[in-house]
Amino acid sequence: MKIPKNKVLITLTIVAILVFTYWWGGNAPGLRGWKPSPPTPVAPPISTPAPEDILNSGEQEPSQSDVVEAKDDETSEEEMSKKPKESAVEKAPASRPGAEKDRPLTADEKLALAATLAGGKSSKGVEKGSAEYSKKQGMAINENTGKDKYLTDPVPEGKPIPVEPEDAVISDEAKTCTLSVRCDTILDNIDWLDPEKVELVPEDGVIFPITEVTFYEGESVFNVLHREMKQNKIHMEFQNTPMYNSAYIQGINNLYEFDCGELSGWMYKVNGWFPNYGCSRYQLKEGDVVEWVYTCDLGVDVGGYYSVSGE
Amino acid sequence: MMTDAFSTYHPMVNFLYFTLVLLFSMFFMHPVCLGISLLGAFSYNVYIKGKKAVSFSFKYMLPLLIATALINPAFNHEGGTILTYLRDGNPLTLESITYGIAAATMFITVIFWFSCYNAVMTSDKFVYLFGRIIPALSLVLSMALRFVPRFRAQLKVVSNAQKCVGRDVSNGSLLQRAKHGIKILSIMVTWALENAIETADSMRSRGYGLPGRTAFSIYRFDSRDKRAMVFLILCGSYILLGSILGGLYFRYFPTMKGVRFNAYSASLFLCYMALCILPVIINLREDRKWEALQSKI
Repeated sequence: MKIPKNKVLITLTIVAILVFTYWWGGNAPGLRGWKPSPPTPVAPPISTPAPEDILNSGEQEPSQSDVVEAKDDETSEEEMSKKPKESAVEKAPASRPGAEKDRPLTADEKLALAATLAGGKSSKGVEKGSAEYSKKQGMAINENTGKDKYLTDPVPEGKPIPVEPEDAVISDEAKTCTLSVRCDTILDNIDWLDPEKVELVPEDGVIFPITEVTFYEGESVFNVLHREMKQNKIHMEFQNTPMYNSAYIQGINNLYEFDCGELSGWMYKVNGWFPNYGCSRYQLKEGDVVEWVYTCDLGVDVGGYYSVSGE
Repeated sequence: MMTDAFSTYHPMVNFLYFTLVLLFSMFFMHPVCLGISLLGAFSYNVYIKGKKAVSFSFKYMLPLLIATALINPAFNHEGGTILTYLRDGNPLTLESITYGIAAATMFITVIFWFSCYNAVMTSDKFVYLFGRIIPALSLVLSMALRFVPRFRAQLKVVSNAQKCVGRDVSNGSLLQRAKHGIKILSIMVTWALENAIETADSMRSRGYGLPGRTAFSIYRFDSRDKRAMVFLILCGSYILLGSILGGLYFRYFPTMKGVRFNAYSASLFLCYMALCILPVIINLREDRKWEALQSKI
């Protein structure tokens, strides 16, 4: 069979155009900011925190000292993520984590990216859970998975175990706790933020200042946040996730997850500890200090990053 | 019934027009643009299809618009203006409602435009335009587009023939009806497959797609088409340029904000209006001309 010359030419042109667009669109392995080898976390061979980390993390003082500590973390993080800006393409974490890709990152890639950002270690003050302690407190942990039925790992020693919202008995006994909502990590990474949302970020990063708020015995962190945001006319969107039996806070003040890079979102800490379960399952006690903070890299910048490589 | 003068233009003009209008309708979310496009699409649709288009839009498009506008705020809670709180505790925002309406408007506008497209760009026009460049694909496309109407027509024929021998879906008990239905379906599938092969064979035997083959066409690119083409290109590129430069910028989230209304944006809107309303204007002018000619005789 004779193949006409122009047909071959047309085919070749089409192939050439496709190849060109493939490279130009940034899908070629070398252009993605990764080395062609898969982006598996290289760093974290040690799963347990180094000895001095354990020492540091012993007992956490609430709020003040912790805020300072988190700040320290941020600045070092800033330097780390700023450096690669110059050598943008070769290094893995370029200006914004995962910004080189046209498509959203997968969950595994995000974890790997955060692991490289954190150097493979959990943030300071993040302890491993203690199964023995959690069981003693009454947490039903599955022997096979080492987690409870809502996929929660054991809590560290001395921390409260999750209380299912449907089991919580809310009395009308009023108590007080401290609530604050901050997004100052965005200020450090303002160029990662969705340009339409820059105007939403307060100058000092405080959306809701540290305030004594009333709650009723048995209420969870979520209940308090929801009520206070409603009362103060601050926008807040959440989603109930049955898998974790908790509400997930998608956005506060119209600052949503993923608005400031693909590893961004809202996290909460109570008395300086980032609970490893959802905010609907954290039952408040008198005098608790609840802080909602926005992270730009899966908790590394606010000091709430859990290294998962230990599992 | 009035004749559609715009569809007597050269297929290239028609095709360019619909490409521009469809792309602009899909991408410009500025409320004014949406309104203009909806107006243009609706009026042209009414011109082509008459009363049927009106009843269609009120029977199907209006409920669709309302449903989409209601569904959006049920799932989307973003936006700076909180109106009230929904029962599940999430806020109901003004932005999500307006965005829902805007998206629904865009959706039905595109449906209207496609309905006009189907009436104007008949398969012979399509094959005329693309038969030379992509012969196989354009044949397949035109066959695919014609498939449903042809299938329906043939179904009627087959069904009537079966009725004559008492084997239609309207004859007999429930089980028999089902049997007859399946039989008709099988006939139809056989017919469709055979028909497709026959069409392909027939086109091959005529030398379709071979180099050097010419095809008869009744289309002529005259000065009228030239004028329309120049207008479309100028208008289209002006709007495109304006939108690239941000002249049609509008955002819905977190708060609604758009370009300030000034002479420049007004000129863009005017241009867009001229583009969307073009076929109706051409038709009306042609109608008037026709009437004027008639009365003279």
